[in-house]
Amino acid sequence: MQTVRRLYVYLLSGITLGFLIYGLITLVEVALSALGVGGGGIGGRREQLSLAAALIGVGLPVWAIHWWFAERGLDPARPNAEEERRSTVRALYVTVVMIVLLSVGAFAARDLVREFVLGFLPRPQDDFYGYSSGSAARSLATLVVTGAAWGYHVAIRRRDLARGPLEGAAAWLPRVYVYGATLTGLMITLQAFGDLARYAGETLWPVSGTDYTGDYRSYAFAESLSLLAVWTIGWIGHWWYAGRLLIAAGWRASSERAARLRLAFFVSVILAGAFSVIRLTAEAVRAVLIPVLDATDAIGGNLGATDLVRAVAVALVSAVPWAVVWWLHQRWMHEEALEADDPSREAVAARLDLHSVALVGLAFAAVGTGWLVGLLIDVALGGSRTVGGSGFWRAELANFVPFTLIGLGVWVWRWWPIQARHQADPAAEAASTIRRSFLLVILAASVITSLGSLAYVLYRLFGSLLGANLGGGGVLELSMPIGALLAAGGVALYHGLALRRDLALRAAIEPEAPVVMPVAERSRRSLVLFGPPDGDSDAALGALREALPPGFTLDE
Amino acid sequence: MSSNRSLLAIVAGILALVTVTVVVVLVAGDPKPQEFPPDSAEAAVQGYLGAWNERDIPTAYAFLSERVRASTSLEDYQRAADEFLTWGMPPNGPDRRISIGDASSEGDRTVVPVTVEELYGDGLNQNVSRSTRYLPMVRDADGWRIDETLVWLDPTYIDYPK
Repeated sequence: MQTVRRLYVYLLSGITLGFLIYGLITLVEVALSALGVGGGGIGGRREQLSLAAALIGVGLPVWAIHWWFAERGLDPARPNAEEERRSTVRALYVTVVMIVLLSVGAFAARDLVREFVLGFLPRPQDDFYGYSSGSAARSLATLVVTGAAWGYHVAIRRRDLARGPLEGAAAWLPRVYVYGATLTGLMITLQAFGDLARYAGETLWPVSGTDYTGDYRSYAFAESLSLLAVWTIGWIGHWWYAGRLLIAAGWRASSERAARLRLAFFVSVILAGAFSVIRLTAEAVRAVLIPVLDATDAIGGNLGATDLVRAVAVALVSAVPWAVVWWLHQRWMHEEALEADDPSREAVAARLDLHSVALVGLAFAAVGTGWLVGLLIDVALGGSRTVGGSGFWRAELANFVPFTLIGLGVWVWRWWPIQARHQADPAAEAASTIRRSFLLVILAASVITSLGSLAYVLYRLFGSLLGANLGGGGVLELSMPIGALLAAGGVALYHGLALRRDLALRAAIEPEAPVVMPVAERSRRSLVLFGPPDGDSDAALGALREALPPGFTLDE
Repeated sequence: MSSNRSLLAIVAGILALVTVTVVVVLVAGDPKPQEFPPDSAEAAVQGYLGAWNERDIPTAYAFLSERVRASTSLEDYQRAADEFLTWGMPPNGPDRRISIGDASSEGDRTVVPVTVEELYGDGLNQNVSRSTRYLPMVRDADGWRIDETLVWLDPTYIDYPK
């Protein structure tokens, strides 16, 4: 009943808070426009004021009443105050509200910074990419109102935390916000850095045969720079807060150190870092391979030395921050594991690190290998029906040889120590949930890929047998699915065998559980034991139990 | 140590695959267009696409049927083609490949499938998009011809004011 009441109270609080915030944003926008701050705004001021008054008039009283109910439940004088503070629904509400406020506020901040940056650049057209110069007042109003609401909810959460330990969903749900915001900020920051590196490269070494307009350059540069500025603050701010929790007094530090979400955050950054470093390095190698494999003419005509230098430099410069972030988070994860009270934490961190990077390397290697096998089939058996597209095969080589080689290198780099750990302590590794999850994820992905490819091969085969007009040439249509089938099949076989060996090892190590027949399947009779008043009934029962034939038990 | 041996075997196998594929692709060179019988529907499509690759619009126009040519003059077709070419279409290059399938007839209708492959995507999303167009063919006095108003492979309605 309490849960249903909470669901109602927090749902209504959230919805009416939305009304209230939208109304306040409109009101502040009108005020700013009237003061001449941030342009003229959109639409008439009277209409906007009417809308703001209506939204605030509806939203404020209803939100205030429901939020008062929610907060009253936390009054220490009330019997269920502690239950309210620890409730999952309250934690979910705070998490969702903070995610929404942060997202909306960050968009507004990006718009403001972009407007500021564009003030120093050649001015784009007002409607370029939907951009409107009259939006600064709106952005500023949104930033102010959502910032205030976000700050209020931060204070609410800090007060809840200060009243004592929180466990379960009440602890981890808001943690999703902290680490989710940190991860999002980090990813957008690094992506924006890569975009800026690309624009810098295009400025230093102009692209042959293209004519980007000033509008495009100004807008794209301002967009990336504003994203970088806003989300760097968002990332560092949340990461700093998470770091402070680790050294906080009392239960919060130990709770944070042991949090699986913190570990999941590290693994997510390691996965993203490994993925981006491989992808960007492969881009650089591809740029080198295109002229080496004589695919330059075909890829787009007059690509020159500057195009090659730009492609390699931009890809490698963009990869550097990803590599640094990958290395730093890997290091931090290991350091925290070493300092943890739980001695098994370091083994968990090591396994997560090794297996996550191996997974990314394997994905690239498998995709590249599948393409190369398909390409080999295509070249060896097909392609004779082609018109045009000269150099298509060489371009495919330039694309997928880097994937294969770099992915293979990364996989071997991480898989080798995994194998060494397995040889050193087979029982511990075979029993590891991380290793089993890794093998099962790969098995699932490769089986799904194999099934999809096999289904397509059979579709073409049956269509051919039934005389269906499926279009395309047989080899052309089948080469890539067969390549994917062979690569995925090989991956599935290798990892499936490893999983099977692990299961056999676990079965051999684990002690056999005694076979206990279910009560329902056993014959049962109730007896009553009588004895002298001073008799030792326990001794009599013991003697009876010792005299029972095999398979019989005597229970009280 | 058998697991290490299998790992080394995998690495060696993939390196061998890469080497063989690179050598085979470089030795094979560009795919050679198949020689269709001169009076076949496939040869007409091949001739049409070959003319477009050479930007020889009058020759491409000649591969359209009498019915299509009667409705669209060479002048209008050239004008439509010039507009098409200003957009960089059709791009020739390794990011695109065209393949001609076998002609098939059903009743008095003959079609030739033409598959266009394009490389697209980034990172692990790298993929090939394939789209197959079925070109309606008709046998005129000049042989097999394409019975549809096409600019390259795009069906187009050409009607410039006179």
